[in-house]
Amino acid sequence: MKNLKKTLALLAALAMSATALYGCGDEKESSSSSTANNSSNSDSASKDDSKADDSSKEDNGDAAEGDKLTILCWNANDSQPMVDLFCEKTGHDPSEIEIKNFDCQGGEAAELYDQYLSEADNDVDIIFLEADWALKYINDDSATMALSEIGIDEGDFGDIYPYVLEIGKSTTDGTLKGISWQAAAGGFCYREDLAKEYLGVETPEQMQEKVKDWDAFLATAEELMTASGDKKVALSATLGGVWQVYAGSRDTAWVGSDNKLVVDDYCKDYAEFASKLWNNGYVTKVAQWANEWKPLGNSGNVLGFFVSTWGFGDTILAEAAGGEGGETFGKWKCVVGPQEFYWGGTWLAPSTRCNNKELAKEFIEFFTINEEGATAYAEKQGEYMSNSKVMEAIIDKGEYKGAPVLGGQNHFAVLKGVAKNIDMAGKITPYDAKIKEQFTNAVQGYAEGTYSSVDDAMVQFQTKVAEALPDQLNWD
Amino acid sequence: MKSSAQNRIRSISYAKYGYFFILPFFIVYFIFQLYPLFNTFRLSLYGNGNNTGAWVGLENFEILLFGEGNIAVRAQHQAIIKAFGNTLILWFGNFIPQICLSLLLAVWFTDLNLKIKGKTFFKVVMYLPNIVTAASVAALFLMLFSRTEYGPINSLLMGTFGFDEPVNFIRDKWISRGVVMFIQTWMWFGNTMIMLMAAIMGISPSLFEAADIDGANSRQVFTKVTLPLLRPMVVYTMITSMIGGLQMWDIPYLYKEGTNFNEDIKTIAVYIYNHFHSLNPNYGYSAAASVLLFFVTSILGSFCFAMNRDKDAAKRKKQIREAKKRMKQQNKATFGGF
Repeated sequence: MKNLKKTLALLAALAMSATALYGCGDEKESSSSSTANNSSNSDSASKDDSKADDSSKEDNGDAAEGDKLTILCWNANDSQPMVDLFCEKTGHDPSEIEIKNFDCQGGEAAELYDQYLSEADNDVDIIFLEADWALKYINDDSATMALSEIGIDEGDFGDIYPYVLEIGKSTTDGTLKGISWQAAAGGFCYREDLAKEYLGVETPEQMQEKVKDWDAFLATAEELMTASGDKKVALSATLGGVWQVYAGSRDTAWVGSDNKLVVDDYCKDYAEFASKLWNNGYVTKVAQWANEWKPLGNSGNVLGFFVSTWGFGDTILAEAAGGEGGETFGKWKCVVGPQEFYWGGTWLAPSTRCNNKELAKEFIEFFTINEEGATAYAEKQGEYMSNSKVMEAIIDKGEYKGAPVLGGQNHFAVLKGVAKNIDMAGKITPYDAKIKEQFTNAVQGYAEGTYSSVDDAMVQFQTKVAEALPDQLNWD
Repeated sequence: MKSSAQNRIRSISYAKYGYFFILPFFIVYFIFQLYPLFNTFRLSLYGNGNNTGAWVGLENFEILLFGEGNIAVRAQHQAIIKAFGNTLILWFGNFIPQICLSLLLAVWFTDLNLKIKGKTFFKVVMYLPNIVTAASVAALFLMLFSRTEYGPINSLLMGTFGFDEPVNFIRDKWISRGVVMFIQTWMWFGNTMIMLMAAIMGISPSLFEAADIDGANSRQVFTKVTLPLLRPMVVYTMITSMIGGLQMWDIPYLYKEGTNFNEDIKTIAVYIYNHFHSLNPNYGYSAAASVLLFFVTSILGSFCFAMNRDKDAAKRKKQIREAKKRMKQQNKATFGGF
């Protein structure tokens, strides 16, 4: 009995100290276990085995972590296939590369990165950055370094779409620090059957004529509303989608050279335009990414969606069409739309802690400059690459037939012009995400009638930005 | 004379082992609770945005409380006043229906004369919403109360009840507040009910019997017996609910479309969160608002506590004290101060 008590007490104490010390575990161990997790997410079982072997090797302490190319990312959807292809084509061993996957939403990644980077011993060579907050790291010289320092000069990126380079540049001194392998150019996708029924449109060319600029867009929306009568068909699904595109037509930065917020006619024009779309039913009242959003595709109440290169699969359009074999699957077509725009994308930036410059350079080049590598990745993943030469070669070759949801139209051929014309030079600030969030909220309020006039809405917009960025910007 | 062994036995104290056992808690508490608490006070005296780390003294408080200056300062003041207002409105709006409902149900479920069938079943069902995490609850209600004609509630209203327009449950000022109040009430009334029931069952049944024999009706029993004896528990519920209510964060934060916050349900906790959990953080304002919230909570908490003081007991205590004083004085007078 006495022994039993002792044993129990010992067990309890052990359990308690084990939980207390859990967090203090060896960093190496926990990172290797997370790599194992990544690979178990990937589809191929054989890869699983090889990865599992790697991590067991690591536990034996064969490879020092610092010797590996460490990649920080928030999911393995891109990084895992990239590493797989890179190793396959270049003959590098997968054990040379470690993916540090934080397994979270893109928006949460920055905070987890900060935690990871706050530990000076944590190795990192390449950081994945999302367009929305890339500048937080690109402007931070203690986090990322210029691509030229690992041996890639800006001149080497001649074939890359200019906007992709623009976003990778620091806004403080203009050095190129990040580069993306993707170009997320977007277009307007519409339902062929509805367009024919209500607008008499037969071909994508005719449709483009109908939505070639914002005035035409508005006129077509009105025409569609009248023609569809009781069905009240909206031209575009959401106001959020329209904003994504309209934002591309802004020709100045949100923050002026005096570091003050710019509230100009563009803002008021958009507020009026949005209010018109909203109150006349030219867009539905559904929010972007809400549960009802994608089902609108088959509802018959919506003619089109604004979609970017990554949205032609299940992410948006294929699901909106009801999936393969769905009601409208294959009946969609894509046109450029009223305005060239990009939507999202992931940038790669070398970390200041990069101790594998050779390999990092090879990796980044493989997916951007290296035509063979970029072509292989585009073909493997159906991705629209940032290398214009590669994309044009793929389109010319004609082997790629376009996304199945478009029923034979090659959207790459439509979008190739878009990516080239996106102009972001001098329009990017580190506060864009915050400012746009407050702007769309104020515009939405105006459309709903919360604010009686555009000026009131703009005052609200300014006030909310002032609240969010009190010391970051200058205020009167 | 004790032997040395006896002495030794007396001096053995097992108390120190107790300290070892509570040590892990205190270590965790100091690292994860006490340190952040002090750090919040410290941060509230430092700057925001690009000036994080610069000592600004009480400037953050001055800006939040009075807000005289440029638009950025005024905006900060407006935001926090509005957030405090929203918090109080949302708390009152969920506490009052919640306590009424729980009290009613608790009395019904404990009444011996009412023979309600399936009491346990109802208790479990009513407690269930409290088990579901707020994130799921918010997702569920966002789906139910979708503002478009495709949302379940709206299609019901438009189909069966003949509404022309879908109701804007998500962004309309009072409707959205109403939904948040409803969610909070629905989530917490079961919990409050269980606590009140425990308190009612703690009341001696002989009191209820005596009231019965004296011919009291159920309203009299409720107001003259149950309610007075229930007061400590009601006050306890009020204090915990108030602290929880002032810190209300999850539902108001999650009940929105995309990134578009509804200004009318932004609580003080949402303000704090948005200012530190951001790409462009303002730690100073965030910490200062937390400190203000801390003081408001303490003041309101002690106010509730003071209300709960048993007045008769306090009076008796005072009388005893005075009597003692009188005696002392008397003694003093009689014995000349010895």
